[in-house]
Amino acid sequence: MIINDFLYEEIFQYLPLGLFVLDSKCNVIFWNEWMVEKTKIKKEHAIGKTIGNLFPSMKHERFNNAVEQIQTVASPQVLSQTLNHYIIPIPSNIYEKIDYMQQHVEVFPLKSKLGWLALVVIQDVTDNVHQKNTMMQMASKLEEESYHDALTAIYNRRFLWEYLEQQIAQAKRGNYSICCCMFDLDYFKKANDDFGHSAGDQILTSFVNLINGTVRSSDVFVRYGGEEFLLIMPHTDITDGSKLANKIRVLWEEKIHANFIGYKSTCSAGLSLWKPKNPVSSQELVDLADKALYKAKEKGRNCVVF
Amino acid sequence: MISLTTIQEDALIEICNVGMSKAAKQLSILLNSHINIHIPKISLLDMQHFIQNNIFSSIETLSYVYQTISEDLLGRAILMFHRAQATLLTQSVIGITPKLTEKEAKACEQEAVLEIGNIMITSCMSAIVNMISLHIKLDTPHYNEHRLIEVIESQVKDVEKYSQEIILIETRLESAGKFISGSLLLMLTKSSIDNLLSGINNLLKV
Repeated sequence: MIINDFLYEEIFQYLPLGLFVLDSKCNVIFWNEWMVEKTKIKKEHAIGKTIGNLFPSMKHERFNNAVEQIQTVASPQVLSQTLNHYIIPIPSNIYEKIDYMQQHVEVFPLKSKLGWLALVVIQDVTDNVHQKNTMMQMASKLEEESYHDALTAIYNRRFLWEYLEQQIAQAKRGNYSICCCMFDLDYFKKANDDFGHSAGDQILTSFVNLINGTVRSSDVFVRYGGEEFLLIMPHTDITDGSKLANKIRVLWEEKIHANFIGYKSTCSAGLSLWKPKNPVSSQELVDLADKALYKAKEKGRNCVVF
Repeated sequence: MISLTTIQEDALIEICNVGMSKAAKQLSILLNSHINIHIPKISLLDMQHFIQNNIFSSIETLSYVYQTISEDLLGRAILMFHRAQATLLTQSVIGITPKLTEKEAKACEQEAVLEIGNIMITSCMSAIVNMISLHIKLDTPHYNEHRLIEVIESQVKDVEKYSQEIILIETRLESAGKFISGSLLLMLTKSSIDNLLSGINNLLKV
C-alpha cells in the first residue's frame, strides 16, 4: 500500500506529540490535533500567527534563537526539559506543584521552495518530571526519618544526639571516658568546584570507607555536616584518641585519587574528652571538639589538635 | 601541511567570538548565571599533533556533543569538555541533587550538556558561514562520553575522506567565577577546509 499525502496528513494530525510548522517569517502554517487539544487553540486561529502572538506570556528568547538557527544553518535544535522546563505555556493541573506541562522540545529544518521551515515537535514529559520529583521528596523524607546518611550510609546527626546521650549515661555508670573526634576534609569545597559534586560525593564516600576500615567495632562514626564527621570512641582517653585520629589523617593524606588529577587529600581533626571527673553535656562535648578542630585549621590544616 | 596565517586566525577568532557571544546570551538565560565565552585561540593543525598536544589527559573521560555538517562544508563539529567540568556547567540549574539517583542526575546532566553543546556549535558555525557566505546544514546533535582517542577514532570512522588536518577552536567559558575550557574541533574534508579558508581570504580582501 502506498502512503499518500492524505495518509501523511492523518499521521501528523494524530501523532501523540505536539507538531507545528513555522514558515520563514515565523508564522504558523501547520498545527496538529494534539496542539488543538492541549492549547485549546483551533487550527484556523493558529494559522498565520506567530507563536509570540498566540502565547504572549511565553518566554521567547530560547525558542526564537532555536528558530533562527534553523533558518541560518538548518541545524536541529534541542530544547530540553532540564534547562527550559517548557516552551509553550500549557497549564497543567494534574500534579500539585507542576503548573505547566513539562516539555522536551526539538525543532527540525524542513526544506521548502521559500527557504527553511521549522518543524517544532513537543513531547509531554510531565509524568516523568512528577515521578522524579516524587522520588526526590520520598528520599528526602526517608533521610530525615532515618538514622543514616543517604550518601555514605553511616549514622547521621539525628542518630548522634540520641546515641551520645545514652553513651554518656552509660559512661557515668561504668566510670569510663569517651573521646570525641571531629574531622573536616581540607579544601573540600574547592574539590567540589574543580571536579563537580559527583566527584565530591566520591571523595566523601572514599573517606568514610577509609575510616570504617580503621576504627574499632565499638567506635561510632557519624556524618555531622557536609564534609564534617564525628568519631565517638568509648573507653578511650585523649592520647589513644589522638593516635587513632593521626593514623586516619596520615592514611588519608597518603591516599591517591586516580580520578581527580591534582587533588591532594588532607583532613584536620579536633578532639575532646568526656570523663567522669569532668562530665560535660553531649552538646558541650561536640562543641569542644569543634573548637579544637578550628585550632587545627588555624595551625595550617592537616593536623590533629586536642 | 598548511597552517593559518595570523590574519586568518584573527579573522576566525573575531567571527567565532561573535557567534559565541550569542551562545553566551542564550546560556546565561538557561543556566540562571552570567555566562561569558571567549575564544583565545584557533589553529589549523595535524590530527596527530592535536592528539599529542591538547588540554585533556589521555585517561580522563570527556563529555562531547557532535553534529554532522553537510552542503558547502562536509565533516563534523565536535565540542569537548572535561567530564567533571561539564557537570559544573549544569550545577546552577540542576543544583546539588543528592536526592536523585546517580543515574537520574547523570541523565539530567547529559540532557543539559547536549543542549548547551547544540547552542555553542550552531552559534559558532552560524557566525562562520554567515560571514563567508556559505550554506551548510547541521544534523541532530548527539551526546557521548569517551576518552579522547576513542572520540577521535569514532568520529573518523563516520566522516568519509576527512582531512588529516583539523580546525581547533579553543573555548573558555566563564560561569560564576569558574572557568571551563573546551575544544571545538572541526573535522572537515580537504576541499571543505580549502573552501572555508578561501571564504576567509575573500572576506579579508573586502
